[in-house]
Amino acid sequence: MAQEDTGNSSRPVKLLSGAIAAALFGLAGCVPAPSNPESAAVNKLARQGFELVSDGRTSDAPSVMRYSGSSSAVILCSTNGGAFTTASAVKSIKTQDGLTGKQTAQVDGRIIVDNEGGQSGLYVATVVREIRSSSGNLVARQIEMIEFKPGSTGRFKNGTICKART
Amino acid sequence: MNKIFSKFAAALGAVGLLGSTGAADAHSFSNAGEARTYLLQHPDGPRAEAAFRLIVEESLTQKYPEFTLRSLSDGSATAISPEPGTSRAAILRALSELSDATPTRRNIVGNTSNEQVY
Repeated sequence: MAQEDTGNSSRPVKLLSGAIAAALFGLAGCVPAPSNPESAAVNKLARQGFELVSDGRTSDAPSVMRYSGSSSAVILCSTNGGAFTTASAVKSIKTQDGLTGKQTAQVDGRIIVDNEGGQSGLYVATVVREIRSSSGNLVARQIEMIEFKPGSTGRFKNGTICKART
Repeated sequence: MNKIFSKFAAALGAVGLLGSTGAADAHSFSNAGEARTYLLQHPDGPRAEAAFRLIVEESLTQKYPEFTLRSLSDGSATAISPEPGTSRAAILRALSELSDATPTRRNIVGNTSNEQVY
């Protein structure tokens, strides 16, 4: 009796399990194929502001992406061994001598994305520093450039290390 | 202002501050047009990177005429044109302060505390 009861009570559970299994098998046929890794990498760079200048997603050729603009969107930097964080594009100071200084940063990037989503190419980060006198005249300008490849870092003279945002 | 820029160019040689630390291979191309043509047919590789570098440097020299491709070839350059009442030493201190990776909060006007500075 107890065995019969057990058997009867387990029948709905078995039916439910079968239904779930059938549903899972059915869903398996509907799962989209993994996205093209080249397309995924291209889309990710495009979201950062890169422009697609050569589209290789439907061929064996690589895709070429180009960026020129604010550093904030595409690179991260670390100062004094700290964590990599968003790189400030603008900085201003006023000195005790009455001079004012402004520093702006921009990045130019040309990135190649292969069929497997691998990236090569170059990032060039440029900092321009301008000093103005108390009367507002430009008295000095300084340019400093670093470059690095995707997956590696570049180092400014003041020790700040930068890398591509991933 | 144009007078100041022209003074920059004249001052470059005398100042002796033209630094450089970089990639001379960018100058294996005679100009940015040649570099662009190369990139159209050779998207990747060291020479393509050199071509891209030259294009970036040329755009900087167009935007800031006091600098030349030669002066930028090593990665940094400085042009100073002090005016009466502004000492070269004060300008150099200002540049140093501006490039300091850990500036004092007192002097920072424009960047937020959670962002890195160059």
